[in-house]
Amino acid sequence: MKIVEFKEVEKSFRIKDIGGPMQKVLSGISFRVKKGEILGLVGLNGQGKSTTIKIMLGLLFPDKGNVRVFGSYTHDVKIKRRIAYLPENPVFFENLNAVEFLSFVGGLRGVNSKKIKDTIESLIFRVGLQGSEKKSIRKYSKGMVQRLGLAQAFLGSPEFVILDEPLSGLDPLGRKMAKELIIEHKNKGKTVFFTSHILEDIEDMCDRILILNRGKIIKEIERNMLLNKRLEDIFVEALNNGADAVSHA
Amino acid sequence: MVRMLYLTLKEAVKERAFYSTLILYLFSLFIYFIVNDFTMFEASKVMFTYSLSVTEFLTLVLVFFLIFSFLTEDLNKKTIEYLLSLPLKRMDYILGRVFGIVFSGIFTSTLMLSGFVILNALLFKEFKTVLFLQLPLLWVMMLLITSLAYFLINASKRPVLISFIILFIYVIGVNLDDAVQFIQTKRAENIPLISKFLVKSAYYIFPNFSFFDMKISLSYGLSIGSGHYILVLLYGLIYSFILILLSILFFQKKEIK
Amino acid sequence: MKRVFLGFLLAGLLIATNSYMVPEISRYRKIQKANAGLFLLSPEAEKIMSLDYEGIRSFWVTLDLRVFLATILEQHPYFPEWVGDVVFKAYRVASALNPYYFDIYYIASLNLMWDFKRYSDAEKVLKRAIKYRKSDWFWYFLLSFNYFYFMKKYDLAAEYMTEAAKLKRSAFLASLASRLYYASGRTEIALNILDGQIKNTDDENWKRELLKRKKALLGVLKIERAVEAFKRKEGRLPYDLNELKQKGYMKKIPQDPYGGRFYIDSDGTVKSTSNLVEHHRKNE
Repeated sequence: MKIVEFKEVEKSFRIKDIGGPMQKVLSGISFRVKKGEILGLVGLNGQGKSTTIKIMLGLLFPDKGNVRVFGSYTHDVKIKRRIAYLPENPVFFENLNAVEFLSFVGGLRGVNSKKIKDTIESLIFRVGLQGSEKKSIRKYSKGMVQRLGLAQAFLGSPEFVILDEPLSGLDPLGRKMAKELIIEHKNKGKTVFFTSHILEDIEDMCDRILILNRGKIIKEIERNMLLNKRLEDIFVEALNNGADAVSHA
Repeated sequence: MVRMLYLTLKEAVKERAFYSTLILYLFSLFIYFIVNDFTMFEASKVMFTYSLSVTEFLTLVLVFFLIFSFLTEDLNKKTIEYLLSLPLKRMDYILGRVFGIVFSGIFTSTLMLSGFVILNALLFKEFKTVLFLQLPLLWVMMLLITSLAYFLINASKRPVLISFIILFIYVIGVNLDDAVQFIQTKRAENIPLISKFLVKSAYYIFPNFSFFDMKISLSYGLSIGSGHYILVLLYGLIYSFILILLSILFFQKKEIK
Repeated sequence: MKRVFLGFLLAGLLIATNSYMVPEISRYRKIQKANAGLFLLSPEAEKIMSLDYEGIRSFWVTLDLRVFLATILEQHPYFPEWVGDVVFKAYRVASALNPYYFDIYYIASLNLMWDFKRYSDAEKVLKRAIKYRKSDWFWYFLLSFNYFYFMKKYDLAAEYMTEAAKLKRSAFLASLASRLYYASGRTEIALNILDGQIKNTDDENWKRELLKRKKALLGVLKIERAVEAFKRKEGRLPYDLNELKQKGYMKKIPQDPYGGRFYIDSDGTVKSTSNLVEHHRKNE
């Protein structure tokens, strides 16, 4: 069963102001996210990873091509209730504290109002924010905000979790915790999609990996391909081939 | 939408601008007594004007600050991106923010004016409830300003620019009525027709904030026709309603970069 | 410790310099203000600058004017002529911002009348006050006074005093009004007003007073009619009251209830040696 389906999606942005030249960020990407897998999207900085996610979330609209999430469009609140998203370098409502923030998110996701207090408490403990949950988010360090971001992403165990650079800003313990959370979620039969530019992270967890370069998916890697080859080598190889392909074209 | 509204209210209450406003209000209570000493006759009427003016001024300042801080948070720190990924309609975002800001303004203005009315009652033995008639006018004014701001987020993602534009429109809107009355007098005979035309057209396009100013009439106990009063409220409500509708309409198709 | 000491030292320095500089600067500003007057824009510009807070700005302008006038009197024994312009301008601005503001009309009209002898400007101020504060008797009274005492327009003075009397429901003002009508040669109107007021008054003392005045005015009216009839027939003014009695225009010479004697002035108006005022009051 497909959770997400991208078909020949193209997206361009204006580089400067109105009437300026356009730059193609995505030039026709197609892929699927299957139920119950962890899919990693790898790419250098500025190659269209975040744009892909924003299109998936319905924040941006594709210029060409087709995008389906749960077989529909993401505008639909019913669809959005099944999705959780952690932005890159997240900033949450700085005047609130962790509990208030998580209650808001949990309420929107339809978490049972009787259980919500316990759920939040255990999540806060899980991400290691106990003792800071009544502090306003303004006073959090970058790592703490990232932990809180993970907590909200897994709150109410949504069917499909989208994480943009989930491990950035975390200390080694935090990284371990985050990885465990992601794998646990998969083991519940749920789906995770995440991006990173740190290859080891992806290597550890993903069932499938997509390599994105210059707005195109240049390689799709199954987990079993990694048994005898390091991701790094495959990645560099793919980039070189891709570069050749572009220069030959 | 209710949750979005609640979130906005909760954020607003913890906003520093909120407390600064309350501190300024306490300060204005001090000044109240000084002003009272400086009046010669009809001190009560001067103090009624003062009460209404301070309430309006502080509430509008608060609303401006809230708009600015929410826009900064949503646009500069990109919480809007996160918010719209949550199970919320885009419409809910606009409505929740606009009414959240307006409700915090309603709460503050009611509190401040009640304080003044009680003070007036203690000082002048005159419990002037008619002053509360200014409140709905002020609320509609706030609604108008806030919906204007959230209409403008479709056009710009710079909070400073949006704030300047609404401040600019406010200053124009406050003076439009006077300007139009002036160009109809004899003293304005040598003003070129094109300027008169511009003023006239601005009169019909921009929100006329001076319509909502009945502070002096209320303080001096002049009669305000109920028809006129309702008409003014309707004018503001219809204007904001259309602004919000337009804003929602554009926002549906807005790309959040 | 050093930091704290330095902090106190700097704070002390600031207070010391301020205590020298602040009065110096403010003295200079005071002199400058006293020489240049208030800084006021045109009423239209002030309206724009004060946004929606015309009431507060109007209060402020009035306060500024009061401080300014006080400063002038510190430096001059009397008001220089140009200060009148400042007063009038401040009035124009403040009353444009808040046309219902009592203080500005009060200060402007009284100063213009007494200190600057600008009676027609005071008239303008008071007429505007009446326009916006219709229910105050006080402005009618002041305007009437201005007409009567300074401008010598007795007709207008009487008219406005009548209004004041109506608004205040005051018998005293009514009697003043009737006197003004009398002074303007309209004795009959004066009598009508008096009648009205006598009916409206509950105060017995005032009623007695009014009745006395009515009696006096009736006497005046009687003589006036006789003089008129005499003039029509004889083509000249009578020499005195006795001539009127002798030639049958009057049966009896009316008595002045205020204790004076009626006489005919050289221009034909009827007057009394008492001036229709109680003698002990007149001497006061």
